Amino acid sequence: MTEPFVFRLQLTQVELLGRRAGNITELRHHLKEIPDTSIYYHTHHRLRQHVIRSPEPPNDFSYWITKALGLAKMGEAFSSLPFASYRSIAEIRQAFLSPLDAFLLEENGHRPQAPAGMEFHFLDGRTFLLPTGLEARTPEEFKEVIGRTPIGSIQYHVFAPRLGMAPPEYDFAAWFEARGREDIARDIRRLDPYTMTLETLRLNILKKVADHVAA
Amino acid sequence: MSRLEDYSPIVGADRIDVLRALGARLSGRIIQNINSTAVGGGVAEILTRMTPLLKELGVDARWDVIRGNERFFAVTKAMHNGLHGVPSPFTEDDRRVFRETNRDNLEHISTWGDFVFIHDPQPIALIDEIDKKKHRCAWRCHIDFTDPQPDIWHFLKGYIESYEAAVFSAPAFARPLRIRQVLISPSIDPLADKNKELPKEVIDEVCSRFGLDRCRPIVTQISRFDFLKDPVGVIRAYKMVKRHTDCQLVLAGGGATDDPEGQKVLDDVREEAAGDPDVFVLFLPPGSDIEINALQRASTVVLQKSLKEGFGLTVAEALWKAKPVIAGAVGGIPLQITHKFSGILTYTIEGTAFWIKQLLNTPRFASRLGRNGREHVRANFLITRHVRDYLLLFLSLERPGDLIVL
Repeated sequence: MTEPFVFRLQLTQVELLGRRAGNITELRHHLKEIPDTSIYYHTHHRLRQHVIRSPEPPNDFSYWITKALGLAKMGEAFSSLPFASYRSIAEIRQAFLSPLDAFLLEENGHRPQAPAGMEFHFLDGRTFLLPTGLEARTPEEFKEVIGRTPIGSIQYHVFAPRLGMAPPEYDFAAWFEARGREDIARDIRRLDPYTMTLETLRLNILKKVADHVAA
Repeated sequence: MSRLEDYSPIVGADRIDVLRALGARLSGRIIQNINSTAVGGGVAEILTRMTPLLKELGVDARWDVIRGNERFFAVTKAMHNGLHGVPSPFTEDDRRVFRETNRDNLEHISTWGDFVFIHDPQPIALIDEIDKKKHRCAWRCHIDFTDPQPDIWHFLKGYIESYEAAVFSAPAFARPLRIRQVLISPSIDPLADKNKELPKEVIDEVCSRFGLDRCRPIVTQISRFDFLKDPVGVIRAYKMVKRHTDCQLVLAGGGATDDPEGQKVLDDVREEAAGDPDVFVLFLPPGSDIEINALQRASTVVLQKSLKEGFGLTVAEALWKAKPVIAGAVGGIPLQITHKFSGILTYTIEGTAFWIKQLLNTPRFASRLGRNGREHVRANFLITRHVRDYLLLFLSLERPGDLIVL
């Protein structure tokens, strides 16, 4: 018998790094240097807003490149990256840097500057974890608890562990795997959590578990 | 005064549970707020509402107000203007007055809290007198730091970096500093007299008292009489609108005890409005929250045509009432308004006039802006979120690290 799954709630304190970018060169410079937690913040904090403002570009970088610099094609490239396949912030960082490098290598290319007041300000997120008081010892209990755990809990357990921003045992799929339920783990991992609201994600996870529990 | 459970129907019980859990981890700690005015302006308003909620959570929240003479507040007003990018002389004598007044205030502060939370520049120099090994100190900046006057900025920077953390209201206010910088937006209290639901009779009575005709459109700006709120620009925009579209204009607000320029601005506004019976300039005394609430609710369109703005809580107030808002794209206002989604952002008098006409003539679009704005405020700018962010700040002062397990 493995340990129960403990549902935790993530709260984020937003910090300002005092760095700003007004063009692609500056964006690239800072992207190489900012901490992983900053990249995680800028690529994931909008997932909460996604609940009420769908459809919304899923990361701040794509939004800024599109709106402030007017580079729609590059903005789309940034928003359509296969985030669900990444397993570390280093992979995301490299995925952002590659198109920026290519852009800057273009001879005589257009080099837009953000209008005054529309510079990109780099933020960072400090994570606080609160116990929700909810635990699951069996898939049946998991199915019941996932339906009522706070939405911030779903967000934390789905996104942070898969990118190395939380211990691996905090991952839903990893917990099922450790219990010998590779079937449920596989179905949860197959979901692309970046393409749905968090409430839809909750329902999808619940359904995946229910399919197997019922069977 | 409202209790935490009163907010559950508005923000959800789970958010209140989070506050209780965070409060339990700071139980008994003394959090000492210090600012420069007990009434008037957003800082005093937030502290008035927040202090009892923190106490209910088990935190010993306190609030001290520093004292100063006219000379001191003239200096701090000049600093305020200079930090907002308005050229202002800042002499060596001004610095002396500033330092001495801060030092003199030590007589009125008998004890220091576990956490000392200093608001805005006026009391910032108190940090020199605090034993930082015993007390965790953070500085809260409520003003627009986008383009501060260099000499004033350098003067303050020395003090700011003596704190453990600085708190700003908008990302654009961040500066290169050697200390942590935390982003915390201010908030409104949906249960305060200024924001609570009002019966129609109360709204009608207030409008009637001020002579407003509720059968005709009402365009309103609520704010202190301050150059940076551009009340004269508002009247000029109104005059452009009035050539083609009928409406009334309300400019209503009070003054803060730390703002010596208010009377001059009020005089200018009255001069600009002279002779127009549809312009209502209302200088409201402290405690006029119901009147302000009623005026916002009676409005067809609400303006906040600020030239500089720390955050602009009047925007959140109007959005919470589902009003279409036209506001200057400065300070923290763009955090509250996404242009053409949850309000309108403008840059000029002409742009403001254009959008007043558009909204008065397209009420369905205006109504949609208001509805979206209300939900945005519910998610991001209510006092419960603000309390949570402050509790996280104090916890983070005690517990370092990127991941804090509570």
